[in-house]
Amino acid sequence: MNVQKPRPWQTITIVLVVVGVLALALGGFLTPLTRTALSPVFTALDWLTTRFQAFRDLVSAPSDVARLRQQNDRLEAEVANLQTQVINLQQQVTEVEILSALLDFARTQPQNEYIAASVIARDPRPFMKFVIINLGSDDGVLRGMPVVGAEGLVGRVTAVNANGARVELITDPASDVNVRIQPADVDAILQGSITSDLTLDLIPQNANVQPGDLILTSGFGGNYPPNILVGQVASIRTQATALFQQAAVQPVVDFSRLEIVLVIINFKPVDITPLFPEELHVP
Amino acid sequence: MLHGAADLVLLVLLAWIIHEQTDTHWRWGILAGLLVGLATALPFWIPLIEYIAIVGFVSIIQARIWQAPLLILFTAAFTGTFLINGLDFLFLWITGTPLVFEEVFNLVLLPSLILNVLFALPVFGLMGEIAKQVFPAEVAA
Repeated sequence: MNVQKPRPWQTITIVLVVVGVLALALGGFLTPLTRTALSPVFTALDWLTTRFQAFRDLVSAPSDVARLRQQNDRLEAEVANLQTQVINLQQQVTEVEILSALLDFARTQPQNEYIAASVIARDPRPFMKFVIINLGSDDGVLRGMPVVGAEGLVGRVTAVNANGARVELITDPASDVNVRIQPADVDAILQGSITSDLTLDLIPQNANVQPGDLILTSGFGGNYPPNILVGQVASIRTQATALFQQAAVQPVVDFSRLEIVLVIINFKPVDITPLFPEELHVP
Repeated sequence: MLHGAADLVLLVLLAWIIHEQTDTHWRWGILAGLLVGLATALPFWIPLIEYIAIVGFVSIIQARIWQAPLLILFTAAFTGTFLINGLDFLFLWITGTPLVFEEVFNLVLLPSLILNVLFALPVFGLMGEIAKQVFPAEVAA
């Protein structure tokens, strides 16, 4: 039996060569060499993979397109649904903000009882500054009741049916409100106009009224409760020959954006007209 | 546009009754008057009178210049705006609302007039399409 003797030098040489190659590889000295050697292999693999994927796509495309279309339809429906929800939520947020502001207003005037109503229509005629609210006599709304917004006075109810009421805004040309200017503590009449501008009239000549002064309802005339904020004096018009001063008023309520209002339901307007002779006009 | 407003009810009514195919003009006038009468704070009979008068006016001028519907449209829009705003103003003035004629004319009537004339043509086109759908042209056998 021929037994081959181990060759230690051969083994050691092989081990040294392997270790050397490994050391060179780990040290990064073989990288250019391996890159050059393997580049054709990677190119070939890449080419093969691309062709294979293209072939696979070609085979499975119809089912993918159908699936994608389904998915697209579903996602579009979902987007539409979410957009609707977003719009609804935005409306609710706006409504909550308005109601919160109205609640704050109601807390500042705890002596009054309120019910909230939505503005559902505006008068179509340019001369008429009226809105229609969605509460009527069934809800306890009566003719003459004052209407306020979160910031201040809006107007008063002039006509009522079972489920709705018409509110005359204080900007209406036919509207007159008895007000008090603070801190001058002077009474005056607030008048609307076709341009929705508010004017203060019958301010005594000796009254010291300044721009920025607050205007509150005085309660005179019996149409409105006292101390409801109406606006601020914007500018004064004084003429030496005139009996009274006039002033332009900046209202606190934005009448173009009325959405929800409060009707003061515990206020009973007083008709003082019979107390005066017929020829006198009392606002 | 200052304090004027386009009267879409007026424009739709005019565009509808000017089309040759349509009839029952008076009924549409009464309906328009009642609808606006319900929405406005003016007495309901004022818009009713206004819209019926406009229908009457259109009927009169239609009998004379029937071949120029656009001329009728603009004439009626012009006259209708004056009539509606004029009667509204007159009623409010008589009932004691403090209105200044110059303000009414410059800030309400003229802007409303411009808006109505501007919108008259698009509304007329739209109503023409609707009239075609409602009254399709008869095909000769």
